Amino acid sequence: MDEPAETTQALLQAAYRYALALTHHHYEAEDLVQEAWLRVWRKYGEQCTRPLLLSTVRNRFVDGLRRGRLATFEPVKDHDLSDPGDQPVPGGSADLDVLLAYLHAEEREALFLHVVEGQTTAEIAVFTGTTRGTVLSRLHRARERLRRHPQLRRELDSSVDGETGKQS
Amino acid sequence: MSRETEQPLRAYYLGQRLDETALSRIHENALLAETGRDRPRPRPVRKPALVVGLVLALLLGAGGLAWRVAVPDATAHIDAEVRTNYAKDLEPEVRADNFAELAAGLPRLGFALAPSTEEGPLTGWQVTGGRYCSLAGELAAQINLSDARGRQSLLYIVPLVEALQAVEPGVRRHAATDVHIWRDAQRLYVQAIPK
Repeated sequence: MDEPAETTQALLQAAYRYALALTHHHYEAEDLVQEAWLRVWRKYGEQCTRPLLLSTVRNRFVDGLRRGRLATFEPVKDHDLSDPGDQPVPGGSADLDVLLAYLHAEEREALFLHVVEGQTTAEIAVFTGTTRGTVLSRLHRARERLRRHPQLRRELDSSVDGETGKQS
Repeated sequence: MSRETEQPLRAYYLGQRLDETALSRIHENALLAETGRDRPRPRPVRKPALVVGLVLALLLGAGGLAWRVAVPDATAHIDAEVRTNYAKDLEPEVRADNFAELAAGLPRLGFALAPSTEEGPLTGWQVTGGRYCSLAGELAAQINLSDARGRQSLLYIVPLVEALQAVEPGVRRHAATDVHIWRDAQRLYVQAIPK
């Protein structure tokens, strides 16, 4: 997809947000951006585009996982969470930051690419090297986990689920 | 899925930003790493920072950068980067109590990992572990140290590449930490010690 030329600052901020979606850790995300920026700047300089930079961030993240450099936290299994059922989380709104920590990295990634970057599930599948069905599953699991957030629950429940079988 | 229903998520992520200091540091590291690489040099240049400054001046004049980036002073840059890394308090990847074990656990370093032969800076400090990191864009070792008082220090060792030749040895004192910089056997040593 063609992207208008972005400033270096905008590219780095976009890369950071994506890295944060992958790692859910501020400093790990910053390190990822640094590593990715070093690579793309050397090779492309100001010709670097957002898809290229995000792809490099992803590659560095996957590489870090393979080398055991990045800690991955297994999300708490659903049955381990005290399940309020359909009731709101006691004490008020659940912290979204905490809820996002309960997601797998690939679930946060799918959500981020879909919600923030505006990618379709087909585009996400191509970007992440998987199938559209897998992307839909990840989005579905992520939404189910995030239903603990009262505001999100209201909005998710009131939305028309047009994803299944249809391209958005 | 209607994207409008995910407003809290969008707001959460769009609210996450790198501050100006981190932005500048990330870009400056890329510029510093670029100096000293294979590039034709019609005239000898003593200080990589001068080259970077000229490049920046050209880029700013052409409107190539969206925001003003100060010409990086190599020593100040390393000092700031080390203090930032110290504050991150990242877990070591390798647990070891000597340099030989540490070197064995960090095989990708590409340079010999050894304690400095200079007396003074490392006296009284015991190795407890280490991890890979980068310093001015170069792959470096970050080594965890502790002393008899239980203080935790971080030591960085990186090859003395061209981009780091301008880093001045000495001690830079700050409110919470002192940063000791010295050279030994074609390596740059930088140690952050809490007060």
